[in-house]
Amino acid sequence: MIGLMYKDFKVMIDRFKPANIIAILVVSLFFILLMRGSGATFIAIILPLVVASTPVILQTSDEKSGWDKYVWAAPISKKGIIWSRYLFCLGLIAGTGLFTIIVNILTQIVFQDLPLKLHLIISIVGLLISVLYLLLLLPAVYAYGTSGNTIVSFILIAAVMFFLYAINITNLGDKFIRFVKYLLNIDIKIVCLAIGFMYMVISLFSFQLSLMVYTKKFKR
Amino acid sequence: MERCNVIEIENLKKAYKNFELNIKELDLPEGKFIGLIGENGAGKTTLIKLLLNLIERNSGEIKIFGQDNRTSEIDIKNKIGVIFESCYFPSCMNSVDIEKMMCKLYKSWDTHRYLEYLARFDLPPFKKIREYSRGMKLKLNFAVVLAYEPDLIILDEATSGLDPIIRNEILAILTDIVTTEGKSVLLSTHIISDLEKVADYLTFIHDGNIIFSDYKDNILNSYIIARFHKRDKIIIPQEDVVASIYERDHIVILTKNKLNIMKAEIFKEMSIEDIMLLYVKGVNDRDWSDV
Repeated sequence: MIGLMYKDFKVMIDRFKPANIIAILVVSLFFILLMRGSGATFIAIILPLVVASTPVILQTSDEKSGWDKYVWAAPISKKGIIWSRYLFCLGLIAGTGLFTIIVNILTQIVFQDLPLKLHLIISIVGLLISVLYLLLLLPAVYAYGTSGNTIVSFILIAAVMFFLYAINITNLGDKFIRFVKYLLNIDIKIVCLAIGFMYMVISLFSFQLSLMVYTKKFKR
Repeated sequence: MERCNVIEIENLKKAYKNFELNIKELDLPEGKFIGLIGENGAGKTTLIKLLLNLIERNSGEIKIFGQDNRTSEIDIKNKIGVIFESCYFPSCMNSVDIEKMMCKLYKSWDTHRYLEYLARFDLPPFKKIREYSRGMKLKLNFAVVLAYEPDLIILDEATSGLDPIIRNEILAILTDIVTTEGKSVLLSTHIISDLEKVADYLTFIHDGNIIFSDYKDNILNSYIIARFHKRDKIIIPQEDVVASIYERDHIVILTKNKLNIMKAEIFKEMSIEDIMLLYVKGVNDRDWSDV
């Protein structure tokens, strides 16, 4: 499994060359200098989301080289193959999330235009959205290859549009605001536990779906 | 009890829309250089995929090293080296990266041995695979597989893209592994001349069925290819004619019966390729009782 993660790491390093990483950092810095606290929170949402599309890059590389078929001849279970991809992508998002949290804390210390709590909440929300996107994307990429990204993006945009439409034509908006207020009054530990449990269930479902799709794909 | 077959297959069936692989029984001996021959689309790659459990079968049992290839899949794959026609490593990696990756995948990985083969094949350690030639890529495949000393090496058309010099070198290494280390090699190829030089055992697959599977010498000793003129009255029982083709005024037959063909011109330099060609191109439904 470590071998497969090392391979994914090398593919990502090849894709994101030092020049690309420096360009991303320079643009991020530009945003922060221009928009201060708002720029940092924007980065906290966008950067992990960009990293969440890693499975598409890895799948493209695997399909191009034929590694996705070759790896079946190696002494590693299908579960191990899928698990290594999940671990690698989640690790990468966690690393990016940590980076954006540090950037947000530093931005707050330097500019102090937004409260630290808001910086942290937005960074964590950005991280959670990215992980959710990744958990949806992975099975889609195993099922549809690189088109999986388009499918998931389409479904998510459609879901958001439908939600906004529903808020406009019903009293769902009021209920949603009441629900958010209710959440804010609950003990933070319970909220964290609930979110943790929800993500665990989604992760398990996503993993099983990926495994099922992956096994079915090659067992023809 | 000592095992004598590296691969044992029973009632194996894999059906596609326009093709069916059907093997009632096939035993391949351990510690031998085995050639898997057959024309394109005969079922060689399907058989290899089934051996590696890469595709689902309709029915049947496959045992490798005496173990079921589904229930003991990981254990078996640790002892098998597979080399395909292409190099499937990501093109951004170099041979040092490959070592770092593969050493985590195979229990018996030997870095020293890998580096030895890299040097022997003149493969630069830090050159990316995307800059390798086709021959270099295939040599890298061999270096990787030989590094973990598998008990069975399966090659699917892996030597086809190599020039004769490298191909001979690779075949010499494989032959050496078989003779000195007692490992088994299963080579699927359409370059039959290679197999005639190195193979101990041959399995001929045609249209999804095993036509013969025996030691090379037994095959060469048991068949006769004879050519005779149509006007010659030669009595050959129909059941003795395995296959036949027409060449203008002559008839070429593949038979197992050495008698009754005295008038015919017998091919003294008969090769496995001749036998295979007659099987593939020939017919065996003619009434030979009175030619």
